[in-house]
Amino acid sequence: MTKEERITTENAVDRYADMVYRIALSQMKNRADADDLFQEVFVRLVGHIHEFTSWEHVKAWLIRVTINCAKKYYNQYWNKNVDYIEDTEQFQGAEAYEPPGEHPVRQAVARLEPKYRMAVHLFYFEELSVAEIAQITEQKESTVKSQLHRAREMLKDLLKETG
Amino acid sequence: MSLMREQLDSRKRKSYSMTDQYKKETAQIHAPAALLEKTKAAVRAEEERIRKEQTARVPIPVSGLQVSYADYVAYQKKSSLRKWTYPLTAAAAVVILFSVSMAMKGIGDSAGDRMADGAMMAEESTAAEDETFAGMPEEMDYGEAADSTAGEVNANAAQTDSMAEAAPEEIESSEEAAEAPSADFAEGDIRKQMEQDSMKKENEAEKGDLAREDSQADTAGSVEDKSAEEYQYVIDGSMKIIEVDEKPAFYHYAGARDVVYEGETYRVIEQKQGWGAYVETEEGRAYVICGQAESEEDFLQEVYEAMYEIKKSH
Repeated sequence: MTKEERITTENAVDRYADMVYRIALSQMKNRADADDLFQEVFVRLVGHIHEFTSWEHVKAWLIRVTINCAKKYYNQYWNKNVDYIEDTEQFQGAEAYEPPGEHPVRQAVARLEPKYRMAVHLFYFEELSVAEIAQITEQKESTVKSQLHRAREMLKDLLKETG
Repeated sequence: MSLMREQLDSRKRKSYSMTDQYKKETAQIHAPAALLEKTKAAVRAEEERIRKEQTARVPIPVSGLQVSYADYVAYQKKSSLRKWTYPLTAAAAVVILFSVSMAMKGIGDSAGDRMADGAMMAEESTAAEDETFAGMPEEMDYGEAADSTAGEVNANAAQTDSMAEAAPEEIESSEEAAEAPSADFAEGDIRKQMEQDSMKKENEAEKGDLAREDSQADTAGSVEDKSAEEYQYVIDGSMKIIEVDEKPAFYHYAGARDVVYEGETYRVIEQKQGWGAYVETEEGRAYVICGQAESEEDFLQEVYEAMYEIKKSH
């Protein structure tokens, strides 16, 4: 096993940074919170890295912990009662992490509730199966199917609105 | 020629579906390099912290004092035992509190039973005079909270009723006794006899009405109890599903409405205890579902999942 293949936290950062970052960005209301979430997930990984025997396990763990940390963040009292200025610059501007331009589908997805956003992202972008998503998010398969179905319906309506 | 090329290009041009478009847009997002470096530094710091913590657990030998391996093992054992102290103490406290609360509940129940027994004894002594009302207080169900007081009220009512009913009988019996010696009836006696007969008939009719009311009250009480038991909302947040033969009472309430969710029509109502829904499946079964949720949509989603599992099992 090469140095890069060894299961260490730093190697995990190199391998899965983009994946964790995309999930964090899709779940949090602004980029600063997404950055904090990203860092928290990998710092937590340090205490658990010795438990994993394959990179697949690490990937599943990272997705689950990112989702759980995001939920915990939403449920915090001060988060519920404070009006956060949502980052409207997420998709444009000099500090955007993607080239500025039209991203109608991502913008429509961003308008969905977090649980629908997560189902869409994991199914269509990470290409996980319904069973895998159900296992990672600790939900029933029927729940995941229902979320995907509703997300598709809502996206169609949202995209029709924007033309 | 150029037109043909354009048409060919347009045919060849890939038509992106919504999901392909999402994948394309998302693939452009990358974690910034500055964030990666900052995270790796935090990871290294955390690794260092854990390493120091693990090192600190081993006792550092003090100069002049030799720490043997046996001492180290004993120290490890002690610290591993010590970490169970708090959880065990907490568990013991929970068990003690639970047993105390059960004991208190037992005391409360037995006090209620004693009061109910007292009421029952009073009822039995008065009901012995009239068999029709003997069973009335015993059969009616007033629920747990009202057991003692309702029993007493009922005992009083029964006593009053039985006394009221006894009175005409006493009158009748006394009149009959007065009339018994004379076998010849005068006109006044005939009228009196007719009056007595009509009073008797009225008494019997009233007894019949009361008996009918009793049986209806029993039925109503049992239906209400059954309804309350069947449709009782679960307060611990879990979903409760009951297969039913008829529509529930809330079906006709003003607040109930039909909602179509995932192709199924649900009769949904929100009450202070939580949400309720009624659904009829294609197989001809009907279910009442009760539960708590933050919104109607969340509730219907849970209902849909639960019904999905039920349909799979059938």
